[in-house]
Parts: sequence; structure tokens; C-alpha cells
Amino acid sequence: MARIAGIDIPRNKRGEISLTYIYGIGRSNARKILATAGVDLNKKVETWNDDEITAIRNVINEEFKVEGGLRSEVQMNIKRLMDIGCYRGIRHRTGLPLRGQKTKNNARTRKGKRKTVANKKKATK
Amino acid sequence: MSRSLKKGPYIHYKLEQRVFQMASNPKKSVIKTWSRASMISPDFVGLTIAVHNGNKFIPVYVTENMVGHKLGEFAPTRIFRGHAGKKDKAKK
Amino acid sequence: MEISECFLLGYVSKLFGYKGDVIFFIDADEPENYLEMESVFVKKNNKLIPFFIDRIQKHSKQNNLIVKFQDINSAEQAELLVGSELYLPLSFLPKLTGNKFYFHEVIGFKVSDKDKGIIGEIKDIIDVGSTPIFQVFAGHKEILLPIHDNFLVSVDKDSKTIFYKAPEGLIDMYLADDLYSKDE
Repeated sequence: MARIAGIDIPRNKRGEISLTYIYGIGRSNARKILATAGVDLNKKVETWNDDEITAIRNVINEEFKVEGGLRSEVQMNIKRLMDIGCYRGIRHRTGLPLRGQKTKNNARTRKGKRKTVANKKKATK
Repeated sequence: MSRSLKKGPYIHYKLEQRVFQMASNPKKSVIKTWSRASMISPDFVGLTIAVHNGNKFIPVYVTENMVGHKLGEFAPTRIFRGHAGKKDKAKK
Repeated sequence: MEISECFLLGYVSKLFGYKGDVIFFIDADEPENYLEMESVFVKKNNKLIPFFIDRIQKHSKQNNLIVKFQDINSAEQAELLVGSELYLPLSFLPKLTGNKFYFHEVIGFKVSDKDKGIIGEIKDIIDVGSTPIFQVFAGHKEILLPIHDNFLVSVDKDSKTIFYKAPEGLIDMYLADDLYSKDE
């Protein structure tokens, strides 16, 4: 296993894919990293030598914010919105979607599992 | 799509005038405005702006980290009271 | 125990493990205050039923507590409680002193402004937007005052008065007859 940015990335995949296992790195960032480090995109992780790994590590350290650092930055941004109490902050606080979607139904990603309202009278006719 | 930088931030011209007046005149009073779309510029910090929410004026005390947001973001147009009974919310 | 004498603490959000433990979602500023609870009221069919608690553990999520009720030893029993609301008597709230207060405490308090004297009674607190807001009524006129350290001078719980230093012009603005006139 190659350890990069504090996590293990799979050995048996191409570098371009394998790097995306790191939080904050997707396909395009993975390509940029490999290009800067001078490693071929298609080369599998298991065939990287020590120099290449160090080069990749250096690129990530210098140019990218990944994993813990990135996660805390995201959290800080959310916290800032909540603290100033703007509309988006309020939506974060109440756990509802931020970007004007309807909430009459769906919106389950933000709202989480359905909470049934106890004792709602069944309609009788 | 964000606003073109070329234009600079949108602030209603009369509101801007009032804010500048306030800055030169230390006697602070409240500015009423309907212009929810105006951006909060650094000159607003420390002022209290009464922003109309379609029904009434919501007083907004502007702090530093509100700069860059729009006035309307701080004066909700719908007020959801929550379900009864929620009480463990406190000040400070 | 009546619901009006209790406050909503949170709800049972889901099962934890298979031995009847559940997770409480605590809807409070500081869930740590509730680690020592011995019992809690669970709302079932609009009635409050007391449940005794064996033990409470912290959960990695801030607002969650892992709770084991007495006499609930299986996931099936616990399942019935999932989604129910939890209540505690008002007297359980930790007392706040000095200028701190619970929002529900100050409803009915008088507001006394530094310049204007007593202006009215707090009818409600609107807790949305940038700062929570006192909704004060002076006769028929509604005055909204932001609850902010810069304006709040002190709170006197004995005389039920809040001393407030409103930004100049704010109260006048709400009292003016021509609230909707545009000012230049």
C-alpha cells in the first residue's frame, strides 16, 4: 500500500484513479498532480518507485488542501454561515436544502430519514 | 451565475448615500430600507439596518463577517416558529 | 405531568446496537448537561410516560446520546420508542444567572430603554435571522429589538425587566405613524 496524505490508496489501480481515493482529489486534480510530478497517468500504483511517490507527496503537500485540512475548512465555512445567521446559515441549522429546492416532498438527502408524526388522525369518511 | 466583477457590488444608491452620511455623522440612527438585494459593504459595519421583509422591518445589526452578503439574507420572509415546547434555547 | 410544564428535550432518533439501546437526539445548546439524567418523559399517544434510564453515554456526534432504558432489553421493544419526543420538567433546566436567560423565561418581561424608559412588554422572541429578536408591544405598535450584547444592558429577573440600550432612532422608527414613508 502506498500511503499518501495520511491514507492508503489502492495499489492495483492506475495512478489517476487511485489518487481519487483521497478526500479532495478527483479525476482532474489527480491528473494535474501526476503531470506536475512527472508520473505517467496510466502507471499502476504498485509500479511507482520511491522517487515518484515522494514527488507526488510533495505536489499534494504544496498545492492541494486534502483530507482533514479540507474537511475542517468546509466545516468552518458552514459554521460561519450559521453564526452570522444568514439565510443559508439558517437552512444549515434547520437541516433543509439551501438552494431554493422545494421541501413539500423529497429533499430527503438534507432532511434525513422520514420522521413520522405521532398520532396524526387518519381521515375517516 | 455570479455578478460580473466589472460592475462592482450592487448597493441601492440612496441607501449608499445614507450609509455615507452615517459614517460622517457619529450620531447613529437607524436606516429603513426595502432594498434587500443590496450588498453589505464594509461601511455598514456597526450600523443597525431595518430591512423590510414584506411585512415589517427586521432590525439587523451588521457585524464584520456579514460583509459581502445581501441585506435580505438576514431578514427572513417566512418565520417558522417551530413546534411547541422547544425551550432549551438560551441567550449567551 | 402536563406538557405545558415540560420542555422538549429532543427525540429518540434511532436504535443503537441490538440490545435495546437507543440514540437520543438532544435539541439543546449543551447536550452535556443531560448526561446525569435518571429519567425522562417520553411522549406516547399525547401522554407523557416516565422512563427510567440505566445509563447514558456520549456519542461521537455532538447532539447525540446513547441511552439504555430500564426494562427495555430488546431491539423490538426499543423500536416502538423510536421517533418519540422526549420531555423534561421545566425545573430541570439549569438555572441561568446574570445576563443570561432562556428565551421562554423572558416572555412577559418589560423592556426599559436607556433613554425612553419602559417601552412595553415582550410578547415573543423571534429566533430566526441574524440575531434573535424581542417582539415588544407598546400599545398596538410592534417594536422589534435585536438581542445583541451591544444593546442589551442587563436583565433583572426579580422585577421582570430588561434594560436595553436601543440604537438611536430604532424605537422612534417603530413608533412613528408613517412607518412606511420613504426617508431620503
